[in-house]
Amino acid sequence: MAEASHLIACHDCDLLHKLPQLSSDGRVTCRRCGAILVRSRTETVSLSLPLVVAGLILFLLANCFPFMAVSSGGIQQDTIFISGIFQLFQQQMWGLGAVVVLTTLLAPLLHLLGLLYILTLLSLEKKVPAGREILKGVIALQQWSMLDIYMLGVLVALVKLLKMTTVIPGIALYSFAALIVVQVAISIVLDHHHLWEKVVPS
Amino acid sequence: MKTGTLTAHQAGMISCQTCHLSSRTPHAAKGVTTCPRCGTILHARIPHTLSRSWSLLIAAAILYVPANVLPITISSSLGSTQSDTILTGVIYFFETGSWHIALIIFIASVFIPLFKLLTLGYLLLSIQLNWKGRPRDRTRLYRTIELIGRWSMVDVFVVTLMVALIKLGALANLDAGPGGAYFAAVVIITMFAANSFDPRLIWDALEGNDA
Repeated sequence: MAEASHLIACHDCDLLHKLPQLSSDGRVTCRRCGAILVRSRTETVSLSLPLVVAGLILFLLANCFPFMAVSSGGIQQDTIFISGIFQLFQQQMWGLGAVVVLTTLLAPLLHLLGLLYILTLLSLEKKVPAGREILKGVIALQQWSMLDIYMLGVLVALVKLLKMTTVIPGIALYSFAALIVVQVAISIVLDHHHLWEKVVPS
Repeated sequence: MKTGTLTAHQAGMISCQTCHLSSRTPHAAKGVTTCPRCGTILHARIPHTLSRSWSLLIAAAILYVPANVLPITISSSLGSTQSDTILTGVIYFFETGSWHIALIIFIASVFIPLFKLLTLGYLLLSIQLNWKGRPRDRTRLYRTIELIGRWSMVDVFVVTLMVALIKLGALANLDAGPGGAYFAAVVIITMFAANSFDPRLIWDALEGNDA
């Protein structure tokens, strides 16, 4: 089947566009409906790889150290990142627990690991075995990684808790906040179009 | 046909939903065609987009009722227990002076799900009734609900955090209520509903007017 890699169809309105040679950073938007077609970042591999590594380290830190503790009336309750998930399973809220595991642990971790694999091999200018499937997986996982929303949840919970208890933040909390920043940075410098061209050379 | 307003479909091409490569479809395509670059099955438009989106939308709308009626938290403090739904939680924040948090929770857990359900219903209706007006605005609406939909999960995460932290014995204890599971289901189902909606149908309706 003939593929036309010089053309791109808008994913929102199907209009065909001639894809310009993207030699510098920039973006191409659909001239009819305004959808962003391509976000070009020529140095995407060298920019996103260190961010992905940093993200994985922060993810590890966020799960291994104390997250938050509250104390009131002489009693203190310490938690780690996954304490909430444990509690949900203890209360037999299996579905809810599974959703939280997926959106705050599995999806972010697998997303970062998949990117690490692809970006490492690309930066070493090697072929990426199973690159297609892994890149597809990485793209699919993006919308299920909800750590930034969890951060907002932490802020809301903090307001509630500060009213009645003393809150003691832990190392994991700061690592978690840094991880969110790193994830935002990754979303800015990642150029999927470029990755597809490198992973599956035509 | 005006030059420069050719869609992939009109040109006999299919755009891959995963990697956005455009491929020319052979005329008598038998069986299943896959994208030459990423291997995803190619569809000119998302298959059964309308029936899938409608059924997911209706399922989410039905589950929206127990999500709001059933409590999402059950707190016990010094012998007395209190059940809170999403709405009573908002009211609590409002009454205790943190109106900014009340606003965040209201927007995330009440406004956004409702907005998403109503907007998706409106978009589906506009396609079923073959409306040709304001396609750009409708596409923008679709993009908006796709982006903000997941933020409704914030209440689920607040509950997750609180059940872990408020474990202070007889002084204060918090359990998750059944409403939380229904609410998470509503968020996830509306995410799937938005994913199965194909915005290109908005623009396909305009083709009837072209020469």
